[in-house]
Amino acid sequence: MMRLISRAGPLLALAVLIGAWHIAVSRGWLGNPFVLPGPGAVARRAGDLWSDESLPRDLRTTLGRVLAAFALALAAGTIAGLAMGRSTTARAALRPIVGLGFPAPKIAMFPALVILLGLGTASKVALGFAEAVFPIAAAVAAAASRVPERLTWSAESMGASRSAVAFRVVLPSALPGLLAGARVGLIGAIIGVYVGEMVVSSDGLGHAMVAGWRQLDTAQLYVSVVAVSVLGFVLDGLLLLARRRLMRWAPENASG
Amino acid sequence: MAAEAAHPVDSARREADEAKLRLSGVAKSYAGRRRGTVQAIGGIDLDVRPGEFVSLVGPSGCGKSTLLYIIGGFIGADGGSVLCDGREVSGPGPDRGIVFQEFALFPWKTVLGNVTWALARRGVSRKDRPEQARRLLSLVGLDEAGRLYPSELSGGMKQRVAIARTLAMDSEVLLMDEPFGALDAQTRALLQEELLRIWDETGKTVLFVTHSVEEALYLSDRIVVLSSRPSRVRDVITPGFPRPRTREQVLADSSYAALYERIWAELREEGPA
Repeated sequence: MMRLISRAGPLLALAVLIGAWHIAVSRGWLGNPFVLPGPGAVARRAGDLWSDESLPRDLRTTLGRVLAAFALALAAGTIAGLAMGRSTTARAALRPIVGLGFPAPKIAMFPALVILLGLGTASKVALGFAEAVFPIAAAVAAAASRVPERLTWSAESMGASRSAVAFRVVLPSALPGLLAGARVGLIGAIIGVYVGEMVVSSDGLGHAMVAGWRQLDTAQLYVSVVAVSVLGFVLDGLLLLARRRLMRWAPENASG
Repeated sequence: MAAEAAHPVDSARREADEAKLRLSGVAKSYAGRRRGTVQAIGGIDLDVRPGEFVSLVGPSGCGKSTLLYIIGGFIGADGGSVLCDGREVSGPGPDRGIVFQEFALFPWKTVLGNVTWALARRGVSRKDRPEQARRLLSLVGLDEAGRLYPSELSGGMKQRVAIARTLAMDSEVLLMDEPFGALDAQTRALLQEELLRIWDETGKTVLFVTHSVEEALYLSDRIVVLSSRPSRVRDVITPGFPRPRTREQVLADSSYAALYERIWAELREEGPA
């Protein structure tokens, strides 16, 4: 029974939230339903947009950009983080870049990115990448510098090359930190791509949101917001699933 | 004291060859907490012969582990030299295997995976690795544990895996840094016996750092007593108990108590470093 409640809990909470939303809108507590349409109206609009193919198309476009931005950030962030965590030269060179780049508002670079990379996919991927790469690099650097010295010593004494130590000892040892950074980076990639699509774009979920706003179609605006949230939720779930597979070796308290 | 000549097996071993490891004037200092430098190791000369089992004991903090890491090539000395088979040690290498007190197993690899990792670095072909790894695990008494992860093992089992992994390197020199220091007394006694059996079967040259005078007396051909910082060789003791030996024989040997008291008296005199 307790198990059933704990399993159904998240769904229950969601149902309560949607129910409260519905009641608040239908009682007029939130003012004009044009500003915040009820869940029914948003769901109906989502159905329309799904059947006229525009929602699936926007989803595919945004998903593709998010995956590209995330994959590039994961590769670059991991390499940069490993270098920073293991080499004092690389740390000296990269720390100011990461230290300044991490807190900088990436959207401020977007006009320059558009001029450099054009109005299409590349500038959105670049903005998503810029949002994702810093948390990943910082997390990998921290985890790589904490790898027990005895582990790398053991590998070196077995005759492991520098790159074997980096990729076969430091990287797997830093995996818990890497995966924690990757979760933050994934959300960054989604926000970067979505905001990029909001500012300058002719497609994608971010564009659908702005189009809904401009056409006074607020239901479409919220369809886009819900869609990108669900997209993030599902991708994060996949990442957690991957972590469970990759971390089977860890004692249970360390994998949580 | 037991005379060296009384044990022909030992002296034959000793005369077999020149030094496997040769330390000449090895010194090490590091930056002090506030200012200046602290000299940790003050010039150590030591020869270890092929196949010999030598223990390093000394007051805690005297730098015996540091000395072992210098021989391993993990940290550099400030003075003197370390020769292994006549070649100058300049970094870690597969000619000197090491076993740490903290086991240092790769937690993301299974027991079998940890051992095959070492075999792979040595260039053993992929198809020969599982068979060789199983043989090594059987040598350390772990026939059944191959598929487990280190987090699923007891401390004693972890150290058996670490020893198997180091044996997989097939180095002639085995450096052991208080390998049984984190184990309970019973496991420790068992592993000491197993180590002697493995040493006997493989003919490795062992340099063994320990806190325990009993352990050093039971295992060693020679015991090197280091002084407190800056550490130097204070005494070299050759217990000369017959081999193969059992713990009971060693404890019952007429010279045991005197040797034990001599080493303890020296450690007491040095005090904490």
